[in-house]
Amino acid sequence: MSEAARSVMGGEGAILLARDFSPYPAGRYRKDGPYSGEAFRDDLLWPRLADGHRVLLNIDGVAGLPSSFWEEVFGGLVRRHNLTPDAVRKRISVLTTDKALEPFARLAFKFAEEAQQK
Amino acid sequence: MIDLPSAHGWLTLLGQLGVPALVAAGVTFLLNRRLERLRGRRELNTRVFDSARDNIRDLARLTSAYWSHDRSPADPEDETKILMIESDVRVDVAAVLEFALPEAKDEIESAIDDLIEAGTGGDYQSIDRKADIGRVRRIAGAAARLRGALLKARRNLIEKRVT
Repeated sequence: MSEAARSVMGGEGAILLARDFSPYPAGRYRKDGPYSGEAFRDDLLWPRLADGHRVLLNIDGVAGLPSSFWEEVFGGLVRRHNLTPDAVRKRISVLTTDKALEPFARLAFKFAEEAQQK
Repeated sequence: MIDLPSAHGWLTLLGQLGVPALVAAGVTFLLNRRLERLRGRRELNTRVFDSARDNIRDLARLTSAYWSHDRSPADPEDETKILMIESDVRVDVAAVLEFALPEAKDEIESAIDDLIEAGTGGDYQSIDRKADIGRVRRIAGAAARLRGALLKARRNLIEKRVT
């Protein structure tokens, strides 16, 4: 990987989920544990989005991403923070170099779309 | 008495028969090597497809059992098993997508996305999780669709090109 690509994947301006939050994200709400989707969304992701930043979210290195956690992150941006699915897609890039994690990059925006429809 | 060829005769004979024999041996060697590689690749592909289908079945079994009852003390252990086998399925499917024909990709991706969402979505890992029979049905449907898509991809691969 080039230096530039490495910088985008985990450098300044990017959130490296495994490093900055937990390699073992789990649960939807705070009551379900310290590494829940709600905690990640409101403590790490939303403050950057609220400041007007575009977020590069690198999911490399996580052991897995339970859909309850992942849905609360992306669906929750629509439900709790009134972002449109289009805005979620424009302002967040989900990155991974691990082909086994690619389903989560697709599911992120699907969850935002579905939250809008409900 | 048989007349043996002279030294010059032997050389002529070697030139006429030896060179074609050497070429034939060389071609046979290269063909065998190529066939061996193709056979090896086909066996590897078959193993990857079989592993994926087995792991999908196990994931469907574990997640269906998990969603068939309310929260229980066994949940943390079951959740760990589910995430481990889900990881295996994702690795297997990524490997299949590496060599599957492009037209198989969308169906496989859609089915694995549905299986992941059905298996670990909703109140998965929640401390007050309730049984969700609707989710059990979705798991069964998504798993069947993914296994079917893999089977179809495998068949198309064999029929459309030598692996």
